[in-house]
Amino acid sequence: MAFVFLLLLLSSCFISLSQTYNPLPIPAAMNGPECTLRIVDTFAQLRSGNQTITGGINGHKFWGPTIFVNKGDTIRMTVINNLNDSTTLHWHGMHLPAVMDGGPHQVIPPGTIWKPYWKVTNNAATYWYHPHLHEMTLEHLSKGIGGLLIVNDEQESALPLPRTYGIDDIPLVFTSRRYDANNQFTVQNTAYGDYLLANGVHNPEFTLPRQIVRLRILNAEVERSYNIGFSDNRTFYVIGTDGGLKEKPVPVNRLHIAVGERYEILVDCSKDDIGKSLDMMAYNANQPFGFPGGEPGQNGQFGSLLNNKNFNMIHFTIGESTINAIAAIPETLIPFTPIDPTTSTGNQDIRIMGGAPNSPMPFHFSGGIFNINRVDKSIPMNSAQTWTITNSNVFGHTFHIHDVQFNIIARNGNASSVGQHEKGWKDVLYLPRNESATFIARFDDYADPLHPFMYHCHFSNHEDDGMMQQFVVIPPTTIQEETTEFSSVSIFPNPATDLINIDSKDIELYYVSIHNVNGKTVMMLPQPEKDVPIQVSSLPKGFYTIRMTDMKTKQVIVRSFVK
Amino acid sequence: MLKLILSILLLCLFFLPSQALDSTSIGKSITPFTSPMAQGGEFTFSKFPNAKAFAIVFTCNHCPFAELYTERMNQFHRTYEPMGIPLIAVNPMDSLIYEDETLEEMQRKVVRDSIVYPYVQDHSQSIARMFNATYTPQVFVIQKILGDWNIVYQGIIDDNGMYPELATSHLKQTADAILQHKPIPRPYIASFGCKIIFRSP
Repeated sequence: MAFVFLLLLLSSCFISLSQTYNPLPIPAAMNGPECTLRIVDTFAQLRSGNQTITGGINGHKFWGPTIFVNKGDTIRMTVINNLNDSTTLHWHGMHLPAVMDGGPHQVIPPGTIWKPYWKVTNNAATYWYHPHLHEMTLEHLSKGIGGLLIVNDEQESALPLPRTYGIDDIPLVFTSRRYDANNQFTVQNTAYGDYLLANGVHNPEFTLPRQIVRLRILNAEVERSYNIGFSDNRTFYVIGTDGGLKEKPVPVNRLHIAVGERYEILVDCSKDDIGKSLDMMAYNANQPFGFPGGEPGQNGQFGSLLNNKNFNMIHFTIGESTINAIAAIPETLIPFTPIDPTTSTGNQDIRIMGGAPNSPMPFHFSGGIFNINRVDKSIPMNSAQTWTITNSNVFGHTFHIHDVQFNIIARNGNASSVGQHEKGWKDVLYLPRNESATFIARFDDYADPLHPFMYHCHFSNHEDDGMMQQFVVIPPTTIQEETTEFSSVSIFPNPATDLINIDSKDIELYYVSIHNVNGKTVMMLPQPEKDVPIQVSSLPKGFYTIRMTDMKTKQVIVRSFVK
Repeated sequence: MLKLILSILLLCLFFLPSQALDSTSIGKSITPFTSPMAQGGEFTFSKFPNAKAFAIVFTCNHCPFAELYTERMNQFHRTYEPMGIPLIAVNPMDSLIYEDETLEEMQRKVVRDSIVYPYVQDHSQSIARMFNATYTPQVFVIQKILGDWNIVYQGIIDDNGMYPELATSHLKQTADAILQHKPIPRPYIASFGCKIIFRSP
């Protein structure tokens, strides 16, 4: 009898423990335009038992700070890779030169500093940054390396919207992980995690003020989609897509958020009693075949404890309202002028291939598995292009293109099939099986026939397996091979202490890299600003070489200095 | 067309990791090695003529998870070396990639952390290749069987990095089993930590 009682007691303890919530961490805010991100190997206590190896940024154990920047500012990043591995950091959704983009070509070796910069021309919206090293994206993303990048602009600031970060404007980054027997993340042959994480914690809870609140949601999964809703089936309002606010809020009670997509929503909590519980749910049970995360199994490569079921994403409790609370859902947001489809001057058709059971080829795009030495498309600058992605395949995917924000203009050839929620500026779209999607995008600047942008499935395992291709934006006129009097370029002072200046005369530099005496790259400076000294105070004393590449001729000249 | 990017990439690829895949080396015969010690001089097996077994721990300076184990490794060596199972730490990290992993930095660590076990630099990574080591920290226990040093345990030191008081020490269980002439409880446990990146031969 005593044994049975003990069992019951233990069971109740277990049930009680399993219902314990963890406070939702709000990633620290980092205000631009000057930002330093130091990426390190670290570990986190994510569950009982051993700690889990993770990747951290600026002291965070899983998922980095949220960068805030204003449209029109020139953002200057200093990325320091103190990981054990090489990596990259991609500014997802940002419009910027390809050489600053952080794709697979901008490899940052361990111990190296990378300093991209660009003028922010994106609209106010929620973007993000994450690793993009080919064949390593899944592993590095799984470690939790990444963060949000929020752009503000005057139009957004003029609207009566919640924008007190972490109070009524809440970042929600969802993903899931599977653990091995050592409590380490399983990344090999694992499409789905078993346990959901929100901002890096399991079983999250947060107190929402009793007012209109804004949730900025990112799906940072490997493959799983979320069919989001609330436990009381309330209506909520989509106000923003990947790349900007909508014309007016779109009321919904379910919202499909696929991998890589961001949606901003408003939730009206003003009529809820204080203390009320409200769960944000993923209503993922009984989805159509091909829905990522709809597979029935619990184990193996495509199984998961969360598959094909409805599950709690975050537990909310309603608390006191704040001063200056937003009390109403706005009627309108910002004007939206879509790209005129009749201005399109080119069609880019892509079919999804491979990946079927017993197929010798993994998922890939027509034209071939990713080859970093092959440019797949050349897009003329100053053009609008119509892209159609056709998925006559076995599974749903998400499609992401770098450099631009696009408008989805048709699904399965029908403009009327585009969801109200996804109209606006997007950089990721969900493509169910046996469907096609058509979007239009403008390629107005940043021509660079040398350095490509990527387009790919945003399932990081598919991307690593080669479901990715690359395009260059080419200038309107072909640049003739030219010669430049490059030998007159000099550097000073030498020896240097804190700063090195490059006197490049009237020559524009495409790339500068600094290497130590062993040949290791210690600093990477894409298109460094003219007459701005290079900060070398962090480098140890020694002998260094500087490789400088001429913008016009791509000729390389090498100089050396002592520090 | 992509020549410049490729040249930039090549400089970086020089330092790209090779994928570490942990697999068992249990039963493999190990050739006694010699290598420079951070404490000075060369490590040789003959420094411990009475050793019944060695705990060879692959570790390094820059890996935060490996860093958690320094004091535990000191304690193990103090306890088990007198009983014939010394602990030898081997640093297989490429000091061209990681400036923290030079012999000078290893010497600083020895002083800073009062390290009592031999801390050996595997500059050519040949020791790590011989063991098929994949991560730091990772321990291999080798035992002299019929005149050969054979790997009898490969895996984690224990199962809690931050809280040694909560950990089950697989290394100690293995050492105790050897001392008591009992079978090794769990000869292989998959390792994790910082990948050992091998320079192309």
